[in-house]
Amino acid sequence: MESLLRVRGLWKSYGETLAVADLSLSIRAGEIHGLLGPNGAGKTTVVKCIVGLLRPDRGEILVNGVETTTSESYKSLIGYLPEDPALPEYLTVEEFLGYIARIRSVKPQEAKPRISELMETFNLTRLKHEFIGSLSKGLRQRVAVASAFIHKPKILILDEPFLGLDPEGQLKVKSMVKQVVEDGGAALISTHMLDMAERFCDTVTIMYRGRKIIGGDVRSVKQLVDANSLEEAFIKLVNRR
Amino acid sequence: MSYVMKSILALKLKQYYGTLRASSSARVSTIITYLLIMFSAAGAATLMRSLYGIAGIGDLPRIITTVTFIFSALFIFETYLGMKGGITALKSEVDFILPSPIKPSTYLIADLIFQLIFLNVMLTPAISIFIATLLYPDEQYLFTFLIVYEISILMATIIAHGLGVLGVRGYRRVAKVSGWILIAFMLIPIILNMLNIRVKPIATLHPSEILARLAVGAQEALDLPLLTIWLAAVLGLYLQALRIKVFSDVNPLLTTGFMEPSSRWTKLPYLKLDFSKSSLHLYLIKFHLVRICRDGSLGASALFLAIFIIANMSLSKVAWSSLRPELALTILTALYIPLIPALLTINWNVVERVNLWSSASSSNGLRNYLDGMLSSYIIVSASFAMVFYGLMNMMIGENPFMILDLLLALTTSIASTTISMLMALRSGKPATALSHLALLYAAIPMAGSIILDLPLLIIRGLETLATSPPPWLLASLTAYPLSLLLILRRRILSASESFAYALGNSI
Repeated sequence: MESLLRVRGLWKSYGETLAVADLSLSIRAGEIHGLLGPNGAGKTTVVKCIVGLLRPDRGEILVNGVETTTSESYKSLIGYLPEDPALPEYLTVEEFLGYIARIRSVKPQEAKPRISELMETFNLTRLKHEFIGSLSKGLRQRVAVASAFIHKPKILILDEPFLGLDPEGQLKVKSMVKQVVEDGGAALISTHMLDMAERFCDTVTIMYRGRKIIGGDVRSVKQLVDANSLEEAFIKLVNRR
Repeated sequence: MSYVMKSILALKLKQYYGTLRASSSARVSTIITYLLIMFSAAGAATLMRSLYGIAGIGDLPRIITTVTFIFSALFIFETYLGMKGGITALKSEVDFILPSPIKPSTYLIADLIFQLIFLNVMLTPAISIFIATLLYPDEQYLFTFLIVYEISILMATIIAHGLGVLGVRGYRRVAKVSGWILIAFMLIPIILNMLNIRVKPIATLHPSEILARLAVGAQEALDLPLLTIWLAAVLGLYLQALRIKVFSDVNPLLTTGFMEPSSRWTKLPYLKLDFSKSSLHLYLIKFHLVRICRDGSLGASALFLAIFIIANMSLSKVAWSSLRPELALTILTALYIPLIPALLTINWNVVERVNLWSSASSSNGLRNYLDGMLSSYIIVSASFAMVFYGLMNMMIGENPFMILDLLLALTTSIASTTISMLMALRSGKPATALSHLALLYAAIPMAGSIILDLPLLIIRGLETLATSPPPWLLASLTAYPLSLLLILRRRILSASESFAYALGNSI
C-alpha cells in the first residue's frame, strides 16, 4: 500500500546540538504510528519538521507523495496538534474553532455543522461562548484537539495528544483518530507513554538521543528484543547502547 | 541589603538582562540599539530646537516647559504601569518566589531597586543626550538635571509600587481611579500650556514644574521645601505599602505592560467575530481588530497618542507664532504615527506569536494571517494619523484636509506598519513590552518611515507646490503610497515561509 507519510534520512541540529540523526519512517493509509521515546529524544523536532515549523538540515519528507519543502499544499491534508498548544485566550471556544475553520479553508456552510459536531463530541457545547483564557488546562486541550479535526484531515500529526486530558477526553480522542484511520487516513502520534502506545498503535518508531533505535509493528518490535511489553523492549534497547 | 533581597535582585537582573550573557551578538545588537536610540534622541532634540526655536538655556521658559513635559511623561508612564500592577514580576517570580516565605517588604524593596536600575538603563542615556542637545551650548546644567531626574524616577517608581500594592491588597478599582486622577493631575501643566493659561498656584505647586525649575537651575524660593514635602508624601505612601502582609494576584508586568488582563475581555460583549460571514481577507482583518481591542493594545495606543497630541498641541503653542506650525505638525505626524504599529507589533509578539502554530501548519495560513494583520494595522494607524493630524490642524486654524497631508498620513502608516512587521518577522525571539529591544521596535519604523516619507515631506515643505500641486505631481504622489504598499506587502508575504520555520524554534 502507498505511504501517506514517508520520512527519509532526516537530520536536524540546533546549533551544535544534534536533535535528529538520519531518521526514516513510513506510515501507510489505515495505520496508527507511534513515535516513541523519552524526553529529549527528538520526537517533537521530527513532528515540527513534518508540519513545516522547522526546516530539516537534510533528508526528505513526503506527504501523500508531495515533498514538504517544495510546496505548502500538503498542509491541507494534515491535522496538527502541538505538544502543550498555546491558544488565543482572547477568543471564545466557538470563535477559535471558527477561526481554524477559516484558515483551513473550510467553507462557512460546512464549518458551522462541523464545529457544532466537534463541540458536541468533546463536550464543549456549553462552553462555546466562554473565553479560552478562562478555561482549565484540560478543557483547553480538548479545544486544541477539536481544532485538529475541523477540516477532516487525512493525516493526523499529534504531539502528546493525551497530556492533560481526563479518561473521557482520552477515549474521545482515540475514537476520533480511529475514525480518520478507518476512512483511509493515517496518524502519527508522538508520545512517551509506551503502555498507551502499545495498546493503541499499529506500528512504532522508537527514538533515543535523536536516533531511531528500532521500528516496525508492535508485535515484531517486542519479539525482536524478546520483551513482553514495549516498555521492557525500550529499556532493553537503551541498555544495549 | 539583606542576603534574600540581594538574591531576589540578582535573579531579577539575570532574568531580565540574562540574554546579554548568551552571545556576543546579543551584546553587539544591544550596543547598536543604544547608539540608534541616542542618535534618535539627539535628532529629536535638534528638530525641536529648529521647529520650536529653542536655543539653549537663554530660552528658559521653553526649556522649563519641555523639561516639565518630560517629568510629567515619566510620572504618567509609571502611574500607568502602577495601574497595571506596578510590581515588575516576571512569570517565574510569580510562580516560584512570591509563594515562598519571604517578607513582601523584602521583595518590594528589591523590586524598587530593580525598577530604578531598569528605568535608568532604558531611559537615561536617551534623555541625557536629548537634554544635552536641547541645552547646548549650556550643557553644564545637565548634571543638575540628572540629579533631579533621579529624584523624579524614585518618586515615579514609588507611585507605581503604591498603586500596585493597592491592587494586590484587593483595591484594584481604587488603584485604577487613583491612577487616572494622577494621570490627569500630571497632564495639567501640559493642558494649561496648550490653552495658553497660566495658573500661578499650579505653576508653583505642581511637582513636574518644581522639578523642571530645579533641574535647570531656575528654582524659586519655595521649590526646595515643596519638593521635600512631595518627596515625604510619596515616601510615607511607600512605608505604608511596605507593611503589606501577603501578595496575591500579581501580574507579570514586564511582559504584559501595554495590555489588559484577560478578565477585562468579557467586558467587550459587543465585539463579535463571526466566522461564517465575509471573505477570508475581510474576516482576518476583523479578527485582528477584535484581537487588538480585546487584548488592550488598541486602548494603550489611543492613550499614548492622546498624550502625544496634547503634548504637541502644548509645545506648538510655545512657538507657532514665529515658525510654520503646519509644517511642524506634518513632521510630528510622520514622527509619532509609527509608534502605533510599533506598539501593536510589540504586543503581538508577546500575546500572539505563540499561537501561530495553527496558521503556520495550514496551507497558506501564515500568508493569509499576515496579510490580514497588515491591512488591519494600516487601517488603525491611518485612522489614528488622520484624527491626530486633523485635530492638531483644527487647533491651529489650518486646513485639516489638505490632500498632501492625507497622503503623508497614509504613507507613514503603510511604511511604519510594514517595517514594524518585517522587524517582528525577522527577529528570532520576541521582544517583551518593556525591553530595550522594544525601543528599537519603535525607533526603526520611525526612522524608516521618515526616509520613505521624504518625497512627500520635501514637497510639503515647498509652500507653493504644497498648496496647489499640479495634477501630474498629485497623481505621482497618490501612486507613491500605493506602490509602496504593493512592494512592502510582497516582502512581508515572502517572509512568511522563513518565519514559519523560525516559529518552530521559538514555540
